[in-house]
Amino acid sequence: MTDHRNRPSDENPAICEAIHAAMEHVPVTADQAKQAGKSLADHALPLPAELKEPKAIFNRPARTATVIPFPSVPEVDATLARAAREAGHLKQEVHEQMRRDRHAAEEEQRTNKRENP
Amino acid sequence: MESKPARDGAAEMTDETDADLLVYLAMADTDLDCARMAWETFYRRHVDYLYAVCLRAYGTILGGEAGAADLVAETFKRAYEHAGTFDAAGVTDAQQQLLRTRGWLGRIAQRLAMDVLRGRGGLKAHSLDADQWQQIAAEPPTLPAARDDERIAMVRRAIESLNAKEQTVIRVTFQWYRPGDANQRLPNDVCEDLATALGTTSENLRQIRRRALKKIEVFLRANAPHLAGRSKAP
Repeated sequence: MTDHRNRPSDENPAICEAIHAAMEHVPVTADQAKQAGKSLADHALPLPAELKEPKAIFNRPARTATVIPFPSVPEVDATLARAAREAGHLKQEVHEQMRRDRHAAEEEQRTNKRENP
Repeated sequence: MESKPARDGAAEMTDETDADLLVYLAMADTDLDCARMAWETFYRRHVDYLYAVCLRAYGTILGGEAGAADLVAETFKRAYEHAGTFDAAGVTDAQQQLLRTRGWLGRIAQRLAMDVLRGRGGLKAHSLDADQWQQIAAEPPTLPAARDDERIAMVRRAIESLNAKEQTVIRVTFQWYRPGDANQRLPNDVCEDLATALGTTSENLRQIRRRALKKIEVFLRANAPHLAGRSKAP
């Protein structure tokens, strides 16, 4: 499902094309893989320990989730701190952050229970 | 796979092509030892490459090295489980097969990453459905490369000049950008999930994206006017 409001018709296509071209993408064709192989040839990366053993990936402990590392929002933090001090009214976005934090904590608890019954 | 010790014969398979290794994997039900050896060869052949490209493309938005490692591990698992869907398309040259295999692994990783970004509960809970596997099997056409080092470097500087939230919005929403397509659309669920994750509304998310794009445009006009492209049509 898409929404007409998500159609970025007022965006500069040249800028969007430039952004897309500047972003790194996982190669999905043989040609792209060939180019990527060349560009990686001089930049060997150490493999994380968890990927070194071929069979280990089938026995990896489940992570709770892979998350996007969102930065702390200063306004929300400030409002939380003020509310804690003054027991004042919380803004909508603060309620939303609290809900997300609670959800994440509950999910983590459920995962821990599954892994360590 | 079970932990039963495999024959120490992975070295025997290093000369096998990827298409053959994937056939052995697909036949794990009938010859598990052979599949184990094929798996070890297949994995070691591609893991460094796949980790490097996943870290480069998704490290920022999936949580750095740990997120990239998760994605790589899940991609390999899916490749193992769906080895039979790989289509060599008649290519017999080993090096061409290797590149084709890497494109296939890349399409699996891309699908998984996009679904994680859609907030479908993390990699562990997600499985790709049949029509997605059909799309993964077929290699898409390669678009003409329009990479220009100066332009790319400048646009990256422009993106890095944005605040953290704007960078996240740009990096995530542009995963759905289709070059050359006049009708760009961002799926609603992506918009809503990202808005929730950022603690804002979908409407605010659109505003953040517009503001970020405007900042990038202004940055480019100030620092590299010849790279900024044409203004939008009246």
